[in-house]
Amino acid sequence: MAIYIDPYLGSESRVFDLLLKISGCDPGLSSVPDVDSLDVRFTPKGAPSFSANRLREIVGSPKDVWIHGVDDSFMTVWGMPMIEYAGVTDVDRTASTQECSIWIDITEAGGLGYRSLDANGNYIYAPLAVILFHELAHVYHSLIVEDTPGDAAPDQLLAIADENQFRAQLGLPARNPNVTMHTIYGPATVGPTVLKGCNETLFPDLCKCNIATAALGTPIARQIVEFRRAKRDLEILTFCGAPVLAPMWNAYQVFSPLVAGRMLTDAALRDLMLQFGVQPAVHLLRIVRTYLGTSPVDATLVAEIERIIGDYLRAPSGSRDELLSAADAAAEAARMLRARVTVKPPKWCAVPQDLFTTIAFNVQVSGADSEGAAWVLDGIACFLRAAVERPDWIEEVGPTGQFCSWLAQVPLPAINAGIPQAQLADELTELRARIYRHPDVRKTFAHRVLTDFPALEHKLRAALDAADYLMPDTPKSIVLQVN
Amino acid sequence: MTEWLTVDNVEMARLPGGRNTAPYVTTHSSGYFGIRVSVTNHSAQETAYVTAAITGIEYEAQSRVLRVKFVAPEAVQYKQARPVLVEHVPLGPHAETVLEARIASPVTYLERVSDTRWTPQVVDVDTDVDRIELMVTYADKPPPSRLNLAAEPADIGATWRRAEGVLSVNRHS
Repeated sequence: MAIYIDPYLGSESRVFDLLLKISGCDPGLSSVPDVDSLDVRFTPKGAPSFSANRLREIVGSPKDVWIHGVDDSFMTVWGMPMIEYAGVTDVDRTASTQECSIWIDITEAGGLGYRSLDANGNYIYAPLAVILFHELAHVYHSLIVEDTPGDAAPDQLLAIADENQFRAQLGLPARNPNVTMHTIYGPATVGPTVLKGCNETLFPDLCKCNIATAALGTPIARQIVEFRRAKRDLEILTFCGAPVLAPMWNAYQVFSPLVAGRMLTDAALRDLMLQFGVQPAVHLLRIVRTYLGTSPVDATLVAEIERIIGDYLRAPSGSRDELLSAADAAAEAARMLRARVTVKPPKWCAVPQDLFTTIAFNVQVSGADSEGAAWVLDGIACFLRAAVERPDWIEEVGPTGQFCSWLAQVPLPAINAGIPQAQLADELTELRARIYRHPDVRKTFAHRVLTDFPALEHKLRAALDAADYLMPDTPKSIVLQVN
Repeated sequence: MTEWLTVDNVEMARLPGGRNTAPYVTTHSSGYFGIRVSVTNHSAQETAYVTAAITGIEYEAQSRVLRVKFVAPEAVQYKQARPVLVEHVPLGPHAETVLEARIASPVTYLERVSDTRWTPQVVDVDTDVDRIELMVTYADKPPPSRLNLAAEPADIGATWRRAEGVLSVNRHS
């Protein structure tokens, strides 16, 4: 009595996206996690359309339809490679079966793309949503209304006719209604060759590349403005000529679109992100800015940080156990990223651990630099613990506390060996004045820099010395110590 | 019947780069193998229309044999499958050519566990295969490059033949 999406290979969100497109990006389409599937539900809320009506009929039928998003390594149930079909449906037209299966190659032939012939013999783009709709047409005629002629060729003609109605709805050129061809993978020769996603259709003004925007629902939220302002202000802090925060920011730019895209179709992920990701990050940023603008011995610092954490806890922030669980999950995700342990994505998002696993997974698959993301996750873990353990945690923001240690571990941009000695010393002096104000923190930072860039040890050591980062007990040779 | 197409050589090598499957799927991301099959038409008069795409891959676990088929659907009755065409290349008398294709590894099969349920089985070409057997079909008349589904299937009157080749990839000896 529904469509079930097989979570095998972690492709379920991609398959759901395709169904969303078929629904006309209808907000009434949702999915509910079950033991071994995502169960699709559809109560249309948007404008009716041919494809949305068809989807509603299939979802509402007493028959079960399983959709398996697979890759291009799959052989079909008939022993032929999936890329010769793009999508296949296994339904026994001669039996009174109650369920059937669809397999669809969600890798689009490993990136080659699928295509069809138009009436003029041109290759036209065959988007996955169209391919899935074509397979659902087979299901509809064979299993739901049982009006299929029974033979493969006439059945295919029916499915192509339905497909062309969906193509017209999407503004895509029609497929030749009768003629098929070989080599269905490869580029189209006439456009369009892309299909707008629901994100672009539903939220044309929304910057889908930004996790914070997707979580807060608008690019003009106060918190977004805070992020932008902080980025602008902190860009003046450089190391070897590059903004100190560049590795973190660059990583965010790379992995954020993947997570934000999924958040737009997964309400649970969006809620978790807001509660345990974005809001802690916003408040952490406020603490950082407070810390940078206040003397570490200033009595108002502790009170201000106490107030910021209190603000976070006054909003719906979760129970103590949830916060601790989220803190542990964020720290674990950071550890896995640093250790380059392959992260397996959760089948769905229900608890804070799923959130941070999803983030780590997307950092890895995006190819983003892991260090920048891991540092932010550590910061969030630090903040969440602070929220649970306050007021005891307040001492962590003191000069030798965990918070300062975290600041000292910020991933640094690639070092420019040609930077003049004087400029390097000026930069370190500025960092000392703004961030690394306590000798112990500077010592930690110096040790780390010398360890990370052993080839430039002499140059760095001189600059660090001039900027008062080296302590009497700083090892004379980091390289020797490592060896 | 004397076969006039021979498989002279089979080569297979891992292609550079990984599989372009991320971020949609999370496993099975090993890579591709490029396969090159050299064939010769020994006929003095006939043109051979050689199947130029992989249309079937079978695995025999006991003997660790992977059977790669460049086999025309017209030459084999694919049970229940909807009509599909594959590419053929014409090979003139005494001509040689190399058929090139790629195989994703691991290969994933669907094994039936009930009337309507299937479960995936994975074969890693790197570690699970000792021997690759090639089968190539060819015809003496050109197969269609377009198929009109609304028309009765036309009989092209071709005689289908097959040629075979073997590549030993045993890495354990």
